[in-house]
Amino acid sequence: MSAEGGEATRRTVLFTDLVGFTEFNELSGDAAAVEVLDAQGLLVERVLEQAEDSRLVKEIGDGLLLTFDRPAVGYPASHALLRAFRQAHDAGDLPLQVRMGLHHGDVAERGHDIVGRTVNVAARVMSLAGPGELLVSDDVARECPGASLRPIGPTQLRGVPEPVWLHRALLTEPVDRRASSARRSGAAAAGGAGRQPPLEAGS
Amino acid sequence: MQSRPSEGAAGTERSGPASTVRVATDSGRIRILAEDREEVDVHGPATVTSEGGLVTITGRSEDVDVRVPAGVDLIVGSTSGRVTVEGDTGHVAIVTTSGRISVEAATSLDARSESGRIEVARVGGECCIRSGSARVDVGACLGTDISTTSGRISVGSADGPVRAHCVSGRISVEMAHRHAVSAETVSGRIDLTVPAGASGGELVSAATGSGRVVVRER
Repeated sequence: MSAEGGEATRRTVLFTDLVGFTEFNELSGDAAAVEVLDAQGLLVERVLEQAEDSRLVKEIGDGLLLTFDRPAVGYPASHALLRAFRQAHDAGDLPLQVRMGLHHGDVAERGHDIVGRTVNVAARVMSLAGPGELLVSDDVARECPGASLRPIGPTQLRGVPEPVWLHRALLTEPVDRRASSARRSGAAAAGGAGRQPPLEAGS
Repeated sequence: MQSRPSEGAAGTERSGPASTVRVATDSGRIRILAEDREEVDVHGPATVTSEGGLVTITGRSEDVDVRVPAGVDLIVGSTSGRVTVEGDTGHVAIVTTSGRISVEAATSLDARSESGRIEVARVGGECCIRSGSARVDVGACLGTDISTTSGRISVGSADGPVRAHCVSGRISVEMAHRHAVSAETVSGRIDLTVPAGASGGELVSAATGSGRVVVRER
């Protein structure tokens, strides 16, 4: 299944990033940062157990690089992971929000790692996502016809002639129902005690 | 169906009626003017194709000026080129890497840039903005969802639910009427202005790790 020694193989690649982790670490200390990464690890482990042919390739600081066999597996798993992060954040178990980027294409395997344009594009897709958001490329969207996605436009990559078209994964909860908590001060956002109502206009 | 490729010409190309216009360049500046007209005019070296109601304009490093019918939907992408949209438009989606984004009026908007400043005057519907290191300024909008990494966020008048998230930067939001507002920053000041009687209860949520939170009632 997996190619060795740099041989290309098709994979669906997910990058994740905990938004504001560096600042959180500065404010809350190393022990709190380790707690967040441990909580993230448990969430990912639970979701990957349900997704066939999925793999955590590596941790990159607070970010993760994961692969799936194909978009039809990778998209629902990524969506499930996003929901799990959101639930943990809303419950006050995870003080930071996650952003994600998903792309599909050829990758070259180098030992346990993967490299190549597909990996670079997935990272770029992730970089354009906001907190609590999953963006996917057109290559993923085409393979997931039932997915609830909204096109958001093309992104140009240096050195890549054709633009990569992006879509935003939609979550279905209505806005007003989620805007229910009043909280006006404190270190909740950074200090780990915070429960942020996930008001997401337009989702 | 119609397809009219026009490659590399520096003159003006005219396309037929359009409901959606897609424009992509690498480093070239993109200026789009929406006005009372029927056709799409493209000035600058770009490839132009038209199919049904979709006009696609692809440039490279040269500036491109486009005149479109008012109310048209726009999908725009650029690496480092500045994107300016003037006039009344429909749904607008813009992605840049470092190019600055300016939008005068849209019925709905999704604008994203890693390091380019984003300025929006008016949005009549859904408004989603993502920025990395540059500031975001929104004049008037309904519900909006804005996040930046290090750029400050300023919303002049919001008449719908607002969510503003910033890692390190100031958040300033003025609510026109009673709607939910959620502002969160890891380090930075939060200034919220809400209608009289709206600062308590279930409507206002603001959290910062290391800054001041100020909620004023008008």
